[in-house]
Amino acid sequence: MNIKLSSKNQEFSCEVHCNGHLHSKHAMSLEQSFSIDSLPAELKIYITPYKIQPYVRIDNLLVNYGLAEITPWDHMLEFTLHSDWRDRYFNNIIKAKQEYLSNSGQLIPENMDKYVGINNLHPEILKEIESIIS
Amino acid sequence: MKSVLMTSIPKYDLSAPPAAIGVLQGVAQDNGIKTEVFDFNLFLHRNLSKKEWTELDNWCMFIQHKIPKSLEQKIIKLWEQEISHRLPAGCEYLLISVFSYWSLYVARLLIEHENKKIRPYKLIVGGNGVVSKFPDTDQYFTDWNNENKYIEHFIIGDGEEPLAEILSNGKVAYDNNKLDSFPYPSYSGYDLEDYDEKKVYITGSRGCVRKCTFCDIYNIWPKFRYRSAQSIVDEMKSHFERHGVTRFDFTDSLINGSVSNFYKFNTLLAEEKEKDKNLKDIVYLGQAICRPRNQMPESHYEAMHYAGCRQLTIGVESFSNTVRDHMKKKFSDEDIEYHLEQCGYWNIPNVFLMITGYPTETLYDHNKNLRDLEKYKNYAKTGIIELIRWGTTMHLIPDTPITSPESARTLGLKGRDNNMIGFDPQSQYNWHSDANPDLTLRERIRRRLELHRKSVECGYPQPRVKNELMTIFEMAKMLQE
Repeated sequence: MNIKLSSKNQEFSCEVHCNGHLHSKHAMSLEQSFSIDSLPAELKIYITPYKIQPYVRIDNLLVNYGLAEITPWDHMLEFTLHSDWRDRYFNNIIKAKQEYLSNSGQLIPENMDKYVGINNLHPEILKEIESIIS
Repeated sequence: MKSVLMTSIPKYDLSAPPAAIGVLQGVAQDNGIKTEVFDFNLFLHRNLSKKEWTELDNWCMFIQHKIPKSLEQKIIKLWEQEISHRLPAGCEYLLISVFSYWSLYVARLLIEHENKKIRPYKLIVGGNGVVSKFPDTDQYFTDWNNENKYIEHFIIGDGEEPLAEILSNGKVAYDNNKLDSFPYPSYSGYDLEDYDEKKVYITGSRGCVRKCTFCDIYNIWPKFRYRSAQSIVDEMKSHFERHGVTRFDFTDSLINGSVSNFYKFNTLLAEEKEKDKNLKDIVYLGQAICRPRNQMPESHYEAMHYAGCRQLTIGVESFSNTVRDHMKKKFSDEDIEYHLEQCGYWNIPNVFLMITGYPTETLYDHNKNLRDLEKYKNYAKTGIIELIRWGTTMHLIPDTPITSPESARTLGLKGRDNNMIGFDPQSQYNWHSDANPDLTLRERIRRRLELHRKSVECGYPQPRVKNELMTIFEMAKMLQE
């Protein structure tokens, strides 16, 4: 799995720790990348200078920190990579949409259908249609 | 001071104030006219029962040609009550915006009602819907109006110039070919909190650079015109300053019709956001066309990201190259892959609009749709294909390239009982093609259900599926008639 960190304007260096061991060190640059071969992987990426929150791309996908469960500290990024990270990411997207609807008082089945669009096989409707067309 | 009451009617979405009224209100105010606005669509949604609203919806979409008399009367009563209440003193004009052909029946009901009474104001009626035919009578809206002389000021085409002429007695005119000459839309009088989302619609262009075979945009706007990038950015800033709006939905058929202008817009907006941190939350959404790498290089996607592109709606229509070629979509499988790759790299979510049962679609094409759902499912998991919509199977719209006499002859397109393709659901949905005889309505519905099942299995979020399936259920009933 390829991880790429990038910052638009500010160069940074980093030290990547994976499952408690030093994985790699990277000199000052606008972009850093490294591979993780074994999952799950608990990652701690120590970044210098502090307070930089670079873009994180996992296999070329720019991820949202919250959805990817990346904890940004002043001096490092911390997260765990799982083999099913895409499923987890998807679940967090859905959870975030539900929370948004809930916080705005709009969490009703109609809006789940309109904006979220999951769990909507509707087998009973399919059955009725199929009984006509078969 | 002259005044005008501007109204919008169903069918329209409930997520934001209607764009057309915003545009026309901007014109009226620019001409020194006092304006009041009334969203009758929203009002009905709040004052009809769920059952009544569904009946109205089916009527608007021609699924049913009639609604119960009691509902008709209720709609008129609510209209009358609110119009008399909201009419400004000495109001000279009542404007009714007929947004699309799905507003035709409601417009006819209300306009006929308006002409049964003695009214102190004149009617101004316009909108995209007025160029269409009523499906039940097969009569053009224009002919119906000419016959009855209901409307004092009937506007066909873009509304800005004719409205300015009416309201200023011909003293003010805009240059229809230069969208930058129009005033900015105004949403004063609307409470944005009344809508599902706090956002406004914005128009960067009119028309399209493609002539897709199934689309009627060319009839409405034959020429593609667009605003300058600077003007769009300035308008966004003005709505932000006036209403605190940070979300903008483009009404354009495609926001990247002019690639260079779109790039410039993104660059300018990103620069403005960089300069003024108050603007950092501004995001936009719009429809776009999938383009090859040489037309939209990586730097364009990067600019979109920094400008705040929150979602693109792409008419992919079919994963089959052959079908897309016939549609004249002009992009390849490779272009779709490139587009998704770039959107993933810059985290730009997409809504894919799809069509199943296009007249030339073979079983092989259908299977390609199924295969590519599998192929792209990781993009669904990561929110890059945020939503996919398969619609209610291909319906044929008269006056589009696919239903032109030549195309209808080549493809052997006929409605039910071998009739010509018209505006009635029996021909729009229940059509067949002599050139592709296996593609019956029954087969189109079967394929649609298979795509639905596959999309669910692969984890693609699909919005408004229940409504679509219910419409398909109604269509299936046509097979029993």
